[in-house]
Amino acid sequence: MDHPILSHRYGIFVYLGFWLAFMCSLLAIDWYFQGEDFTNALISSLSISLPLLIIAPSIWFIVKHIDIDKIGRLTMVLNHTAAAIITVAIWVSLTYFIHSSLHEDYTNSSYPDIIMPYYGLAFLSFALYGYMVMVYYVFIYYQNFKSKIENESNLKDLIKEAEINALKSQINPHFLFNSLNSVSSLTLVQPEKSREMLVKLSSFLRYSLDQDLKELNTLSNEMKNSRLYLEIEKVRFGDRLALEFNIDVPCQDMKIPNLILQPIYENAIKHGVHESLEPVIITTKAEFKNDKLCIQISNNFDKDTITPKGQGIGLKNITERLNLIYGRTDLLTIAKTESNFNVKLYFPQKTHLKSV
Amino acid sequence: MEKIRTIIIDDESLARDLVKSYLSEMDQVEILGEYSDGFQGLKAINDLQPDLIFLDVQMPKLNGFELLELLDKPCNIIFTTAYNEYAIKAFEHNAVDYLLKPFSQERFADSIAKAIFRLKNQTEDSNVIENLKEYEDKNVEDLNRIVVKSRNKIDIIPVNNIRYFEAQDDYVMIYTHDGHHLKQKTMKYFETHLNPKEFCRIHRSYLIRIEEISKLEPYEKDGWILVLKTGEKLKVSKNGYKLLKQQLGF
Repeated sequence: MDHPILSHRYGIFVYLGFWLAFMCSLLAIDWYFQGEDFTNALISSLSISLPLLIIAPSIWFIVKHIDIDKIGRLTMVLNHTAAAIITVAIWVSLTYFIHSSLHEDYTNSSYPDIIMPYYGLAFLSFALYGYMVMVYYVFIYYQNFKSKIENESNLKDLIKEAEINALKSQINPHFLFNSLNSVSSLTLVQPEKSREMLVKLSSFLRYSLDQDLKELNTLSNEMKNSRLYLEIEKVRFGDRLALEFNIDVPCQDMKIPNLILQPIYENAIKHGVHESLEPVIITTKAEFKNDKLCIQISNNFDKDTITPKGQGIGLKNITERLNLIYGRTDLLTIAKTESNFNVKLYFPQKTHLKSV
Repeated sequence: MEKIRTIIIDDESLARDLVKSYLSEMDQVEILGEYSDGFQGLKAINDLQPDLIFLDVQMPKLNGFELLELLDKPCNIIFTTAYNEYAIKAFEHNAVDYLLKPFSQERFADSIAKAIFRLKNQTEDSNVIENLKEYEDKNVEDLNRIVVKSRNKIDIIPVNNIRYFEAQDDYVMIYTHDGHHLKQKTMKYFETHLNPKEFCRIHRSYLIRIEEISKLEPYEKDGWILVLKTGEKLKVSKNGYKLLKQQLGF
């Protein structure tokens, strides 16, 4: 952290202002209240306040190096006491040194009163040391607080950005426009069905837009949404798409990350249904084994389909997300045969185990 | 005036229904048939010779553009698709219009009017095409497959199976692991539509898959000959040698 006095543009002037006020009050006490001769009073107040000019900014370095978070309270108090004693000793000696050099009629007494007796001086400088240490600590805490708030808002922005990016990729514009085209067609050929399709499409979009990607959701909620998506696609593709679900009842309330299955279904549609003349069956299986929820999604595909480049980015993203949430990279496995694509996902159920 | 004879090619039945429904209100158009994939569509075009074709781009096996490449003579096409990125390519293929799904009945009527105009005048809006060609196609994706027609057969060649291309007048001979196919395209087309990390134009007449290279042998003075894994020997031009040097980093 930068020095609060030296690093600021007007810091040094503000500081000099305070210093001047301090010196003037000493002068006022000695000259006005104690009835000293003005020259003497000026010399006395200068000999006390001149050392402060250097001492006050130097205390910052002591404060900066005594970090309460690192060394503990007792050590801190001991450190500051030692530093205070040294500071007071230097200050008082300097005061006497300046006083004796400035004073013309130097008396024999080695410790003359300079406004106050020497123990008064010692007490004053000790108190001022404590006061300045406190000011510096307040300054440090204020700076830390400010930067923490800044960091937090930066972090929030980052998360927002990541979420927006994720959503952009989730709602595939071609899916949207093709579905809307189906609705447009239904309004003419089967008007009663068009409303149903629009409702499904809206529910799906709302769910996708509402979800916070950091959160977990129950399997039953996620499956409801995936079914919406698949049923919309089924309206588009008719008999070319068949759906099978095999979900163990106890799995319904288990938790999985929001929308984590969506890219897998989209892949199944894109590489399975889009490329095949034959019907494609998308099967979803969910079971609980070895403390983990295991979900398997598989689809057949035309074996002549040429795997397009860039495939696997979606699956890589899922692996990354799983790693962020569960801290493991082995939770997604892919098995591909000549005409079948099978994705297996494992979701550790810590929270579930606790509730049992 | 005679009725416009048209067919619909789209893999989604609801999408076909919509076009049919819009057309049913137009007396001047007659629907000869509807087809749910590229192969059926291709056969119908050759058999029926329709005046106008409604064509989807994204279809299994044979997409709209691949179908166009296989046609013997140019047809009047109205593309219907949810993908806006193929518009330039569509007009390069001389499309009558490009309808973005979902489209309104008014927009659809405009397309039909354009088609009627073109059929009457037998002209092409060549200006439009020329203008469009000036745009760089930003969405050039690397090819995954190439469709080739030979006599009565259509072959779909995965790019991964291709070993090299050889220029032969107006055609390009494509050598794969299990044979060769002739395709009416330019070398330039393949050079720009294939991944430059996988293929290298070593000579005016040759575009080879880098993985297939076995070795380079000196030939006469400062010349080079490239030997493929299969033992075939191909000439390397000076420019090609430079490119190879860049690619392989020797």
